[in-house]
Amino acid sequence: MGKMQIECKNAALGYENHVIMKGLNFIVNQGDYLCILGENGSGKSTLIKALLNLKPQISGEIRFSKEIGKNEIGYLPQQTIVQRDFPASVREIVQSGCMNRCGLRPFYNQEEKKLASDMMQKLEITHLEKRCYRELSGGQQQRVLLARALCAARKMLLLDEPVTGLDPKATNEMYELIAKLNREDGITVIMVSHDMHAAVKYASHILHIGGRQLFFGTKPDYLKSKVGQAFLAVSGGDTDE
Amino acid sequence: MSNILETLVMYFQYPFVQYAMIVGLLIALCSSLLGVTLVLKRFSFIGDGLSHVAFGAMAIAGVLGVSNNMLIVLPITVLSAVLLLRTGQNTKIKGDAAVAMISVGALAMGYLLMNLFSSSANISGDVCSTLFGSTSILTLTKPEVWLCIIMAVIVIAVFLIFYHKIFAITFDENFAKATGVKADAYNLLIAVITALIIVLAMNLVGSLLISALIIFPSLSAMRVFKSFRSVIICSAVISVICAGLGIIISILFSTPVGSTIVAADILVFFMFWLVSYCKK
Amino acid sequence: MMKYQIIAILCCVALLTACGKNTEIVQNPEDTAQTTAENELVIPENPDADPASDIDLTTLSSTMVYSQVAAMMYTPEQYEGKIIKAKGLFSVYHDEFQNKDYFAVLIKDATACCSQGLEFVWSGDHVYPDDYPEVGKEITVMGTFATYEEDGATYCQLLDSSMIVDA
Repeated sequence: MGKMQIECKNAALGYENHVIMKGLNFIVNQGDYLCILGENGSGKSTLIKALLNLKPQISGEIRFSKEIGKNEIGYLPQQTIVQRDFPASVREIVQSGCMNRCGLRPFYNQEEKKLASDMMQKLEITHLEKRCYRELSGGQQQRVLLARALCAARKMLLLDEPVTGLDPKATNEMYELIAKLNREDGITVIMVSHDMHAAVKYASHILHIGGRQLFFGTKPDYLKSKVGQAFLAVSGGDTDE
Repeated sequence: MSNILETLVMYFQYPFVQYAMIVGLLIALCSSLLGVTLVLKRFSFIGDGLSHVAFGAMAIAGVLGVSNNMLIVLPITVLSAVLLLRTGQNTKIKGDAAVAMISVGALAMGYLLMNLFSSSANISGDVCSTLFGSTSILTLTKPEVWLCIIMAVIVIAVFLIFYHKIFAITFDENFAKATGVKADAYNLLIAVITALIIVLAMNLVGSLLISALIIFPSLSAMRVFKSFRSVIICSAVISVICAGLGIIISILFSTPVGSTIVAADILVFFMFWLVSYCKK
Repeated sequence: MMKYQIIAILCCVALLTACGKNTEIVQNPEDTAQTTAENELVIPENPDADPASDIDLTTLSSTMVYSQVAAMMYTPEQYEGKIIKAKGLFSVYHDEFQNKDYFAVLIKDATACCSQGLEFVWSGDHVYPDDYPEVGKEITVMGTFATYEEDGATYCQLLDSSMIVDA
């Protein structure tokens, strides 16, 4: 078990007077693969915003370890409509992950450019460097965004439904890639998903939410729990998109 | 042909033609730089709304009889840019409805004010030149020329300094925010610069045609080019060439400046569309 | 990379401004770029112009005419004493208080929505309306540019003008 990176103590999330989710208690340690499960509207996106420091919690506490710090989570957001026909080269996009390293400096330096190149190599998209993002396949696009996320932070990744819209083959490749990053590079992965199958196959920990915290613990414990079995029964363990 | 060339050379010795060319090209450059971002961020409607606000502001300036219109038009337009952006993010009034409301409202009130209180004898002329630019670009006074040049340089400088940040928030605002880029502040910056450009461009093409100046070059460039940088460079080149051509044609053949420039932009758009169509 | 681009773009901007000056220098060897930027009046040589006039508006395109007249209204002091030839529509303005008629040649811009009147005084003894053409007739006038003050405002006019009614 690695060092503690995020600790969430009795946190409640929501808008000013409207609590969406309460009673959140969980810990993320270095090297964990946490899968956050929940139905649509269960407050997943609110939790993401809280973890990314975009929206403060109403009460309770969310603590980040020093090495994670604020805004140092590599984030893989869901694709937006804007991006689908966006004229940008792969390199431009990957490099934009280095933005938080620049501060007020208007240019990327050699180090940041090299970082972008290294990440493209790691995700095997170097040959696409000059290609236009909108002409890539869905799986390639996700790799590009993943490389960008890795440029922003190398310790922790937060993935928001990373396989939405991918065909089964690309979905599988994506999951394997994430698992590899987790296994070989020791990158902590937090994946938000409603794909039970993948959660069971890859995650080390499960956080199941639905207005409140339904379950948090290791995967084997989850599979034995009532919540887990109920959810498994409903989704049948298949990848329903 | 050589005759036309001689005439052109002669015309270019007039200081007001030189001013028009310098200012016109700078405005075209500015508007195209930001145009790409505005189109991609689906902000082009804000540009359209702001141009109508600028018209209303111009009317107020006219009624108050201020010597330098810019002093009134600029702050009002910038303020509206900030407000429009806010309402665009606020879901209570839908963004596009808010823009439509403000823009049409400003247009109506502007015309009403001009009609009721204008001190000028030639109201229709005033309205026409504010809406369509007419020959405003050729009748700039020297302080106006300098103001335009300074503002254009500011816009270009801001754009170059924040180029990578503008790219980041244009491509993916959520990601940029998550990595600590102050996206809201940059959105505000973009809105303010847009307001500056619109006030500038009113001189060149008039407030009704500004959107065309902002949108067409970037749409053309996006048809053919594949990286953000090349799209921006290409749209800047298109915009500058079209503005230059438009000004030259309009002084030679006495066509309205604004519409000629926009016509050139449209022509280029169809050429690029054809190129991209043939490629497929 | 970006740095070079910025430099390149700034150079282009510089070039744009520089170009304007270059052409001035080439075409007007007497004038330096500086003096044109200052308050000296530039009247480009126009081979088609009437040699009797300093500024012949009849040979310019209508956009140019409109712009030139606007420039004359903006800095009339620069044009004082110059002989101007202009073509446009004859128009009359009658001042009720002074019971005086003002005659002008109306110059329209390309969009046809803006027009400027250039007031002129026909040399010799003429009586309105008998000797004058119909309002709206196309006329060509040539006279000396002058300014005068009336009720605290500055007006421009062409003195000692000749007038030809175009067919």
